[in-house]
Amino acid sequence: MSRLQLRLGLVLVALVAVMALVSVFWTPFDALYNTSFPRLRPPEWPNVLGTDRLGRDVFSRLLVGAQSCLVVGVISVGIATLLGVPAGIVTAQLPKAASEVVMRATDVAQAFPALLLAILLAGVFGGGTVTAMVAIGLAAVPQFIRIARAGALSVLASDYVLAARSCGSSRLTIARTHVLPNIAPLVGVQASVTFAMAILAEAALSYLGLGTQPPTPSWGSMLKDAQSVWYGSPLQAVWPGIAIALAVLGFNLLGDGLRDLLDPKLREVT
Amino acid sequence: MIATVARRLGVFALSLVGASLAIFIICQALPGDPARILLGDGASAEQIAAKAHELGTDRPAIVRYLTWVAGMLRGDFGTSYASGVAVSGLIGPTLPVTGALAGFSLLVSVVIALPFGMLAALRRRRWEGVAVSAVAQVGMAIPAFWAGILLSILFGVVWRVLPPNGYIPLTTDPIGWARSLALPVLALALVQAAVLVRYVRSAFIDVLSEDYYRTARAVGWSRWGALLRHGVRNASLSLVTVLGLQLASILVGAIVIEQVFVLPGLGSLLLTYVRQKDVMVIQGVVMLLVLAVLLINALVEVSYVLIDPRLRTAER
Repeated sequence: MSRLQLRLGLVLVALVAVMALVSVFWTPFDALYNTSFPRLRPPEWPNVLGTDRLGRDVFSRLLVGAQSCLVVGVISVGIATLLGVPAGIVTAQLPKAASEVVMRATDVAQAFPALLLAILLAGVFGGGTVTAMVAIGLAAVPQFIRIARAGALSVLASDYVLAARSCGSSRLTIARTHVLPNIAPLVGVQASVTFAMAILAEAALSYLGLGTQPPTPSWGSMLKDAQSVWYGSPLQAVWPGIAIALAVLGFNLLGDGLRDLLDPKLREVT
Repeated sequence: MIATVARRLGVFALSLVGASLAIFIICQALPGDPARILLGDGASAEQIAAKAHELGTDRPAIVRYLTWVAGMLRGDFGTSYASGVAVSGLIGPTLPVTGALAGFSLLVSVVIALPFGMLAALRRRRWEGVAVSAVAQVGMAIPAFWAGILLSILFGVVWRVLPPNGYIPLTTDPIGWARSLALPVLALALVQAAVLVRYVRSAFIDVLSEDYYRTARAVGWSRWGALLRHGVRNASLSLVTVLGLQLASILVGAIVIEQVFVLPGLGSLLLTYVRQKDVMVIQGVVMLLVLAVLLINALVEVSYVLIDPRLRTAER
């Protein structure tokens, strides 16, 4: 079961990556400015998924949309990992009282879901891809702190860390050579699940007009456009949604599959 | 028990202070002087100074923060810079809309998730259980707003059985109100139910391996009977935690769903003023939403003690 999940997840994630990569070099038609086709055309050759309300090729826009999805995901997960993991490892080594303060702070921070933080930041700094990425990344930091801290605590309690310490290894060396490699798989699982969350958040923000800005296509903003033409062309509201769902499903399955591989005991439960 | 509740209340109060400080500091970063923006380029320095004094923006940040917090404690969220309207007056009418949307969505998602989650746990090695898990996995990947758009197209445009969007207040027409909320609630609830099913399933799988469940089966309870009689209360401890998290994500999901269905809720209010960059309204609404999330978290922790008598005496 978990192997199947992992494989399916990998296939879906690879599909999105290939879409994004291909669209960098080639799309059937220009996705941004080619408005030469009849508007709201149903799926027919050469527009395999039809055209949008400005007469642009939907399939081309769907391919380019994969770029926004991946870029936002990579950057926001990157922000969360780079800030959260070191902070978590440091927190694990703090005295109990200080550690408690940090954990309570992450509790408060978790009361700001990604979307709410993104809307708040958009209200202050203006909406856009950068605001969205920063907000989604920051909102995920508390979870990474928790995961890294919990993992680091169990590693730090182990005999080999005691041995390393008695040999005179510094805290930094121990963090780098013992803690980090041992918690990396946990962080990987969290990164995969956060990636899925980031795709959903980016889509929602773009749908609200606070994420990726036109004319750059994003799956969320394509759904927004589709909503204004649903009487004439309801299929426009189907394709970007399927793309989002497959991408999110891929990263969720990847995360679940990885977790099961790492912890066979959990296989029965999750 | 009282000590647990008191400690939890203290943490809640501290969290509120932390959250309000964070919101206030972020909102202070807004570029430009509100008085200058309101009056435009033609205003003289004296006019801008007078306006700033009127808005209170010429006072030190700490004074403005304390004024804001003190006002909120009395239910006064300040005055919108742009429109001059009291923020609480803007928020008031939106609360029943968002409250009903979030409340019913949570209820419907539980009603869907509980039986399916239990089925998935009981039949986890049969095709029914695997099918429920697979559907839940796919459901989790669907953005609620896309579900909303599809439901709106299908039920509102193609089959014309429910209004595709819009809102009718309860006091105007109760049936129209229920019809206008049906699709938004369903859109939010279906997606949340998919998340919930997974937790219900794993909570009940835990129950299935417990001694008390085996004993109940041995003395003649049926599988479902034993689960309902002994499983639900034991499983609810972990489920209440999830429900708390769910309600928080439903509140945020409601912001987007309100846009899909053009509902005049808290989310629509927030987004309108985000576009106008009206700090007073933004910080008021965000504070209210964060307050709701923190309050739910606090209630969840207190409810542990009510659900599980063992925790009343044991030190946590």
